[in-house]
Order: sequence, then structure tokens, then C-alpha cells
Amino acid sequence: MAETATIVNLKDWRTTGGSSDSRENVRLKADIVNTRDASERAQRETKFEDLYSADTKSHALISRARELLHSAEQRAQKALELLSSSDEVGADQQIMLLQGDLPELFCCRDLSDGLATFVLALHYALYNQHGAPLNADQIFEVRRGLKHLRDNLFIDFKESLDLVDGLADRGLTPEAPETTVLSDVITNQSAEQGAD
Amino acid sequence: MAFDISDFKLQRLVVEIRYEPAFLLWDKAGSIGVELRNRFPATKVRIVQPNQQQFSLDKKFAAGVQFDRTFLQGVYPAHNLEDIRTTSEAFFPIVIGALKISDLSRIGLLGVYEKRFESRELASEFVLKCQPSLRRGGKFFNVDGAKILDPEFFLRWEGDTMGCSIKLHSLEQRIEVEVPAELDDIQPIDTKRNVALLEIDYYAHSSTPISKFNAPAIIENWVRIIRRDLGGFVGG
Repeated sequence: MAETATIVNLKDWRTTGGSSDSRENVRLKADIVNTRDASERAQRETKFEDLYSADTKSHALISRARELLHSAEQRAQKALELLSSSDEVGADQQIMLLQGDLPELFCCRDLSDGLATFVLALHYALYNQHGAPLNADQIFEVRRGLKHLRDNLFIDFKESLDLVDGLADRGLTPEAPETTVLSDVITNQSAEQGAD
Repeated sequence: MAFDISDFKLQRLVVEIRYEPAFLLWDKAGSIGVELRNRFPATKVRIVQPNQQQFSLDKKFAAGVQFDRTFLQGVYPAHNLEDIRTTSEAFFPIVIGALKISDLSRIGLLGVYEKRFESRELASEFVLKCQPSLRRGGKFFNVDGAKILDPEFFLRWEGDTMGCSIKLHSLEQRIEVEVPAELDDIQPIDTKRNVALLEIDYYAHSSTPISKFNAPAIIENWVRIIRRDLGGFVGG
């Protein structure tokens, strides 16, 4: 038990601070716990709608991106259902519709590097199929990536690479064809330099 | 009296995030400082302690990185908030990345709005007009015919995930600078100003994954909400 105690004003603790404020050191004086349902509050998660709801440009962009991600995720889900009922043509049609939403989604790329990376990777993954339909595993991975992105719109580049790797692990090629050629050239050059 | 935020000028805007203690601060304080200086060349160190560092990024912006919270503060930001949004877009990813913060326990936006007056009485009268319930008349505490000075009105409005507190008060500010006798060509400063201050702290106090946090969008959205709802809320 502590030998001394300091009375801490919880009103200050519940207030956003700044540099001209003496509140910075309040935290050091004692372990402050919000007396009202602190653990319960931590368990609740803030929704996108709570944080971004005003009539602003950024809200319009965030809403549209989430709408498109939701719509694409629904199409992937529908494709999975159709595939399970052996309607391969219907499933492929849903994926084509999903592909059609990607350019607009790419226009929302300013929101985060992660969004831009995954959308571009998905675009190339579908492009590199050259018309061949996706299998259930691949559609499942596409849907997983879209859902994750919708719930975590501002992921960074590094985190989005896990989603891109997920596509590659299912046999998709999420890179531009030129990148593959360029990568071969660089690899060959390195090998030649190594041999010299 | 109908309350109108357009009478006020935004004096200070603070964006603060809180998180579980970030032990990496003990390792990364230097690299955060270097990154900040690379991004904001005018960065100056203000406070350096093991569990908190404060910097001024330029004339208008200051920032603080602490064990369990980080803030960015702008003084008299541009009306369209473009400057503070751009600064926040660069600042927060540096800290969040260095400290490997994954969840926020609180996001707060403090806006301090000011309206200047000629005298302390006029500033007090303005607050009393906004909140007539604070008015008093008669004899209290053996003082007759006294005036209410420095009235203050505070409200907290809190839901499950979001909340805000509002404080409206009048304030007399004084700055007094004595100049050493050796600098006899410089005039000392002793000046006062009277203001009505409106402090609005808008916050999300439930857990927020970092992947939902976008500082420029938070600033734009929350300031818009404050401007939209403040009049009705303060007016009652």
C-alpha cells in the first residue's frame, strides 16, 4: 500500500490537455482510474459513424469508400454462395461486378496507403486471371481482405501487405505484369554481378 | 440571447490521443525527435524527461509525446484548418509508428474560442447574457449591490462512446515583462486583455483501433460538429 496519497481531480483527467497546461504531471502523482465503468468503456469500440459523421469532404470520402467496400464484400459473399450451389457463371459474374467497383475505390486511395495498396493488388490479381474464374478459396480471401479493410480503413502500408500476401498465398498474382518482368531483370542482373 | 459561435475566434485547437503505457518511449524518444526535425525543420525541444518530451514544431504548432498520451496543439490555426490538418497528418503517424500503438483509449479535440472585450465587466456581462441563470441580485454574504464577475458555466454531455464538455467563462489576462536595466532601449510590457472563453472538449472515450484513426478527418469532422451543434447546446 502506498504510504502517501494525492487527491487527483478527475475532472482534469477527463479533459483534453495541451502544452500550456499544468495537467501533464497529474498522471505521475497517482494511478488514476476513471471511477465510472472504465473497463466496460474499454471493451466498447468506437464506430466509424461516431468518429466521422459531419457533412464534410473527408466524411463523404470515408462513407463512399466504406460503401464500396461493403458492396464488394457482399458481391464476394454472393459469389461464394453461388459457387456452393454450383452456379459458376453466376459467381464469376459477381466477381466481374466487384472488379467494376475497383476503379472508384482506387479514387479513395488518399484515405490510407493500406487501402491504395490492397485495391491495386486486387485489381492486378483479377486482371492477371485473364478471364479465368476464381475458386472458392480465392473468393474467400478477397472477401476477407475487403471486410478487414472496411473495418480498418486507415491501415498502413505494412499491414496491408499481409492482405496482399493472403491473395498471393491463394494462387493469385497481385502485381502488375511489368513488375514481374522488372523483377526478373533485376534478379538476373544481381546474379550476373554475383558471378563476376 | 441566442449563442452564435461565429462571434468567436478559434484561439487554440488541441488533438490528443491516449493509449496504454507505451514503454517504447524509453527507446524511441530520440528517433521521434529526429523524425520530427526532418519533417518540421524548425522543431525546438521544450521539455525533455524520460516519460515526456515536448516540442514546438514551428511558431504556431506545439506537440507533446508522453508515456500514455500524445498531443498536437495549434494556436490560431487557419480558418479552414488546412494547416493543422496537414501538420497532424505528418505528426501522428511518426509517433504512432515509433511507439507501436495499436489501440487508443481516448481521442480528444479541445477547441478554445475567444471573444475579446474592452473591460472585465463587459466580458462578464456577455457570459451572463448567454447564461442568465448565473445572474444574482440582492444582498448575499453581507455584500449588497455587488456584481457578478468572472462567471463560469460548465456542462458535460456524455454518451457510451462519445462525449463533450463545454466551459464558458470570462477571463482577465495580463502579461508583464520586466526588461533588465542594461537593455534601456527596450520598453517593458505590461498589458491586459479581457476575453470570454469558450472551451469545448469533444472526445471519444471508448476503445478505438488505430486503423480507425485519421487525425485530419477527425479535425475536420469534429470541428464541423462543434460549429453545428454548439449554439443550440449552450443556448439550451
